Amino acid sequence: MYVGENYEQVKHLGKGGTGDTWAFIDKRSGEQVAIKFLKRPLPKVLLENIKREFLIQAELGFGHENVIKAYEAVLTPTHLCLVMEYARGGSLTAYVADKWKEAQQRGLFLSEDEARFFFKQFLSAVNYCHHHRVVHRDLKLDNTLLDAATPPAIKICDFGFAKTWSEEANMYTQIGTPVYMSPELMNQATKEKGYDGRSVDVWASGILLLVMLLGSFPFDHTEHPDPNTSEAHLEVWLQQVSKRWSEVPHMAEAVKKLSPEIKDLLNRIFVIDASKRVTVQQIKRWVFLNSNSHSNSNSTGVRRSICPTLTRALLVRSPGTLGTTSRCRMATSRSGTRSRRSRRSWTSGTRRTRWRITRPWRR
Amino acid sequence: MDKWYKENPLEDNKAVAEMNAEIERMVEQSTKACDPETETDDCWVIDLRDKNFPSELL
Repeated sequence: MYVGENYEQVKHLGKGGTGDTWAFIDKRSGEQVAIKFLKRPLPKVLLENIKREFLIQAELGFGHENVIKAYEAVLTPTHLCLVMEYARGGSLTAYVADKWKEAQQRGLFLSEDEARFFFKQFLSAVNYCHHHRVVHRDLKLDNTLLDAATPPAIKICDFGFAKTWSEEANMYTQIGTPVYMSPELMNQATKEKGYDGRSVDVWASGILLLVMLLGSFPFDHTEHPDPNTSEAHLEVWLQQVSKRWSEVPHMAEAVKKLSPEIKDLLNRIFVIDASKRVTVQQIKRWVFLNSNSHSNSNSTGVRRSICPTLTRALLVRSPGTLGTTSRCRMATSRSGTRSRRSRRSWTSGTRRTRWRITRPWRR
Repeated sequence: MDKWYKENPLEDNKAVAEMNAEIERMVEQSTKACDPETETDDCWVIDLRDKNFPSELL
């Protein structure tokens, strides 16, 4: 892999839907970076998605501590590359899966305090994206990385499915990872009415919070394991509309381990009618996120064993495949315009819009 | 927020628009195989570090 003389290859990090990611050393700074490689020639069908990913990542990355920073876009004779911040702590999936032993003792994978710590950071990043008219549309544990700090800070990554909106937030493309997708996204009527991308992110945030705590998805497609099928989507959707998240059979026992505050929050997140679902701003003010202690019944220190079915999400699926992304196009978005953007230096407060292309190709 | 966007439209900011256009050109170029007649072995690099939003939006 070659990204110019400034980078030295270290190791392979992972394989994604569109390309591989490698760790490199930036020889100028000595820092490790993650570089996503997309092989040339890119399929034209991916052109708009990749353009969007590069532009969004470039714009969001440096504005928030909990969003992966994008450093450079590089085109080599063989690849298109995105040079990004390297999160040494791996994914939140692996972090939660490693809490298996704790889960056996206390009944929760992460304690509510630790889940709150991560969820606050996560919400702050999502709120930042929404503030800038960007919806992620594929929020999940796999796309939430951790840095090497103690305790770790989270970093939202992979904006491959993200989209900006201009005047209205409504979108029309059925996209995401089924176990994290909201009912309105699953519903076939979406192609007529569209959906609010922000509400979709809120639903996925609730799933992420629940999996951090219980290690299980409330709505799953166990009968149809391939996430790219309409049957899998239908299976998830039927569960969503037929039962409350806390009444799904495999969740009923585990839910008792949650504090009233967190159940209250999840009840407001897992609302079928997206217009009545809480917003990220409202969640940030919720009691659960703003309390240092809570009335969790588990704090009694009673040793509990967790329900075996709950661990399926973390045991059956390897960390790299927890919640496989599915993309099922129903219609293209009717909102093709990019959001209006302008920038100024937030360090100086004055407008600064310089841009630079180094070592350009001879054209 | 909406007010800020209305007061700072992208089209008024030529340098930002040019930078976005440059990224778009790069991605479009990547849909073609490398042509040794027109492209050298060197890399085309766009520095993204300056694409910041102002802090008042955070």
